[in-house]
Amino acid sequence: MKSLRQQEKSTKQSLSVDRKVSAALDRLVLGALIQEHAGLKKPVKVGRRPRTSQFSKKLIRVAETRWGLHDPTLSQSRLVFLYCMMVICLRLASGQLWKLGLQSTIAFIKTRIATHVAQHRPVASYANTSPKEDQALRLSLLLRRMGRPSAAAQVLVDRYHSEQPSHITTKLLASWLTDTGEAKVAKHLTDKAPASDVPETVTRYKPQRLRYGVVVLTMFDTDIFRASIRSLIESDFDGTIVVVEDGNESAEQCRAFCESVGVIYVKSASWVGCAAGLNLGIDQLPEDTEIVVTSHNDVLWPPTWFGSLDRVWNDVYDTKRVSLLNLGYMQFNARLGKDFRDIFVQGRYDDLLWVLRAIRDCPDLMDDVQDVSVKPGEDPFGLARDPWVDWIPDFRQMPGRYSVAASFPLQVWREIGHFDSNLAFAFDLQFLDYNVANKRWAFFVNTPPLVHLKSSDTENLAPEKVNEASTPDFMAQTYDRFKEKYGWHIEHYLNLYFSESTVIHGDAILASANALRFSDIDFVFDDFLHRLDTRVLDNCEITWCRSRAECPYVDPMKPVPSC
Amino acid sequence: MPIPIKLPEEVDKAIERVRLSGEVQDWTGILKPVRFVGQPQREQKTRKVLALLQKRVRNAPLKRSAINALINSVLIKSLKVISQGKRGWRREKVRSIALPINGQIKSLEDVTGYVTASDNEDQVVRLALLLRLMHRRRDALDLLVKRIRSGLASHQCQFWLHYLLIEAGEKRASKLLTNTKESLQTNQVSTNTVRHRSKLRYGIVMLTMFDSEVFKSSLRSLAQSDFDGEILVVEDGYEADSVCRETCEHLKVKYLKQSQWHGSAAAMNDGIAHLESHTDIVMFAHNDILWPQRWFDWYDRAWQAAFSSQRLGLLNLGYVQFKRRQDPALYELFLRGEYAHLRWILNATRDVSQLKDRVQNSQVRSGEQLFGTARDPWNDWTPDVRFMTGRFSVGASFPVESWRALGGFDPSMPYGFDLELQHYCLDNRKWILFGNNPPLIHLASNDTQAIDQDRLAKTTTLHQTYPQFEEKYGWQLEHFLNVYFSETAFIYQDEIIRAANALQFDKIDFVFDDFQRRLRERTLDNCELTWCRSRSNCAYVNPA
Repeated sequence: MKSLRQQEKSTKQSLSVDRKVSAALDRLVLGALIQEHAGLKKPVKVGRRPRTSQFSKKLIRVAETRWGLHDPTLSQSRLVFLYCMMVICLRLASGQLWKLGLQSTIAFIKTRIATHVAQHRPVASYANTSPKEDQALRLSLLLRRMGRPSAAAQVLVDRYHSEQPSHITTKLLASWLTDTGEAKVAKHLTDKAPASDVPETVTRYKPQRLRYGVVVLTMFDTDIFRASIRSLIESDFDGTIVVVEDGNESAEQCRAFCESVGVIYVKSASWVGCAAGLNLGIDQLPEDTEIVVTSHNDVLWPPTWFGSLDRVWNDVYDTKRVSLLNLGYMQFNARLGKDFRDIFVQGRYDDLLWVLRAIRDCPDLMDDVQDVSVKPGEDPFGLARDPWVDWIPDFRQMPGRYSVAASFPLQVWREIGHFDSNLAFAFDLQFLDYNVANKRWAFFVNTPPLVHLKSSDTENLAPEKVNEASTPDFMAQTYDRFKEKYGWHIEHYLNLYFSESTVIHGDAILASANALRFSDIDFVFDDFLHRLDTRVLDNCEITWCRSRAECPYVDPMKPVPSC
Repeated sequence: MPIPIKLPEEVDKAIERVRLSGEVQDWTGILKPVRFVGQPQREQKTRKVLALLQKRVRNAPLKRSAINALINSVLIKSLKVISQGKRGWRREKVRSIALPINGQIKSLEDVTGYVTASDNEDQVVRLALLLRLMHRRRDALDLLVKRIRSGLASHQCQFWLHYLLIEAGEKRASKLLTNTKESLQTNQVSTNTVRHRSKLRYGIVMLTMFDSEVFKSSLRSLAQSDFDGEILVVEDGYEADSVCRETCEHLKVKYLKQSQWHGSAAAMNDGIAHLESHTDIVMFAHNDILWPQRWFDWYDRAWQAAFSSQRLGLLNLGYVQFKRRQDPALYELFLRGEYAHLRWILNATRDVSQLKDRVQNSQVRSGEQLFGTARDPWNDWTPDVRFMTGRFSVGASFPVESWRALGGFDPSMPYGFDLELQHYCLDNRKWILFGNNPPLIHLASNDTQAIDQDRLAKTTTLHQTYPQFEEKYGWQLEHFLNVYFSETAFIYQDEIIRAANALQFDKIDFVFDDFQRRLRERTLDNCELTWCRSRSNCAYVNPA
């Protein structure tokens, strides 16, 4: 009898909790709806303003049902009136009076009117139709980024209420609920979340004959770094992994993690920069390593990439005409949103890649994500682009230089004489110098793109810490050292190669390289050397060059100023 | 050292007028160039208004006030009326350029034009045409003129200057430009492309109705590419005469004329029946695509990898697509067979957010080495959250065996042979994929615009595709297509791409079962494809 009562009690409790969850989810959608219609940056915390939120809800409903807010044929004047009224009322109701600045309000209303038709299109959410959660997760992230947070929340809520698996959905909903001040319900949701499906294990790819090693540089033991290493270990890579921790912090922060996952760990005694760190890492690799892959610590590796890279190296290794093969990547930064960072940390490569590509497909959002990979019809080699310089709207062109994951024969590194530690930010140009002297090529290969969460480590460096550590100014040192070592100003050297020779002869380079007829394009190196000799400020068309104001190459007859 | 060239005075004056015309177009959004030749007064007045407008924008206060915007729009309207007369009152479909903020008017100084940096003038031409697309017509013209004046090789630039002058009605000045005839012919000379040899035997059936310039350019590019197989042009009987015979004979391509206008299915049947009997793979090709010089080895590589498995049912070639009205210069590039320029410009266009949606692509993505699912450019549109994987490309190939198994395409579905193939593939567990290849360039809707709509309306047999499909296969067409391409294939695209590229087709057999189940179970009540065109008259209301 007692147990029956207890059972009844627990059923009642769980029903009441379910009701609470449902109510919280409703509030989440409502908060997002008000946020969307009022043009606010953050969702409204409905739980804290129940009355005004209900008023807002009614207002939106009336606008939609009676005033025809969803009508795509609504006249311009009605639209203007409707949106002005809505924005003002909703902002007042949400207590965000300071958001009533005329400029921001007008700008927002203009955007709403311009995108009126698109805003109200119903969304095919796949909440019920897909046994996989991928679609609901991807679409909700995309919709949120597209400024449709209520639709995004609705997709997740639909998924949550559906009979389909909803592990990831629940987690994401919990995170969004926490953001809107519903921490209790969020916690309950997280506790109640069903177990996630076990990810499919990837079979390791056995390289045909070459042996590989990956060297990862890091400065901090962050969750991004850990996700990156885990994704590499779980991929089809079959070789040695070495993590080099720079000496910006005295403690060995990453040792415990590295040892727990079975990768080699080495710590720099002092803060020495990338070039020296890489040298240290490469020294740790087994003697018989033939190809080294250097990597940032903030990249998510695809499950399968290694087989594609090995096949290409296998084809060109013996030709001695290729010195560097870069892996393509998609790049975003933390500003894209916390959710993106979270799925990076969770290692959801496919989902992240899908959303980033979808963002690239939206004209209004495309600039938030950079695509640095080969184009269709370029296989195995492409030139990609340099995401920091290449920008078509401004007519700046520069093919890719050194990727966030780049591979090269260990022998080349030896022949270069190891990376010059004084060229902390330009050690990649040592390859260029070597290539020109030895007529070797650097390309991007057609592999599934890595996902790069850029500047995640450098943003963690406190400026005071940099000053305290009295670190040398790596950038200035790099410029000086390069001039001293190679006799050219860095910008002059790299712009002439990448933005002149390679851009001008790009078609020929790709056609010949992909047919493995490297000797056909040897003339490009001569062309580059000729340009180096003859290019001066007067005849230089690279108007966007950063060094243009202090270009040392003013007169061809005048000697280059010494450093 | 090249010797700078001085252009004749008359050409210089014409260039000034074309510059003015370009600026007016850029500011007002007028599509066609304004002709100032022989109208000095109008030219002068336009210059004055334009100078005033530019001065206002340069001196504008940092924040754009409503009054400022009003004055500027009045000036822009005046510019239209003065330069165009009465026509200036019309509303333009294309929006004028946004007024520069903080008075910064972009100039050619900001553009790295590669004018003197190379003997090769490709970059100059590409950048000039891109500038034009970006509503910087004046700068585009200046770039070309700069190159010509530099004294470096400028055949292509001269051709384009000649083109721009003609476009703006400056015929006399254009005649004065030298070498234009020579440059016109530059790309029409056939090049000796090394043909890729294959073990499999291929045939291409190109359907056409008109002997248009686009068709000629398309066929020429195909004939001059590395394709190693048989090309057959089938002319549908829209015209009574064999209008395309001469072009085909000139290019040494097989030709077949349909006696009547029967539609694509019948034409394809005839075409395939006339291919050599040992043909393994046949490709249907539109007549308005520009072919890359090298594409066949990519195509062959994909078929070689999967042919023996008999699991690849339809291999589509990736393509990029634009419309003629976008810019007549792009159309001209197409006619001239300038594949590399066109590809570069279309790619660059997709990198500029304001222009991105003017070019559609249906290609595999990076990392997809052999196969991808691409996208359907008519339905898939991310900003509207509509997704559909690629269905049938402008160059789609299939084993001849599939055609035989189907018993030929059903001529009662005149434009439904692609649907029959798709149905056959899904029924027989064969995959519909896109190949990784240098993209074809498709000039969308070229032939269909030339069809007499009245005649089309009267030819009732040509409108039977949808009802016939429903009758023959038992499914409403949209239901069939959407359930596969927007549900099954979209949901499992990661699995499909991964397994297909590893040639592990058996691993993804479950997808076909999933599709068949969806096809049976999907009704209006449980359908989430809210954008489906047939939603209002969906036949699947009740599962019973």
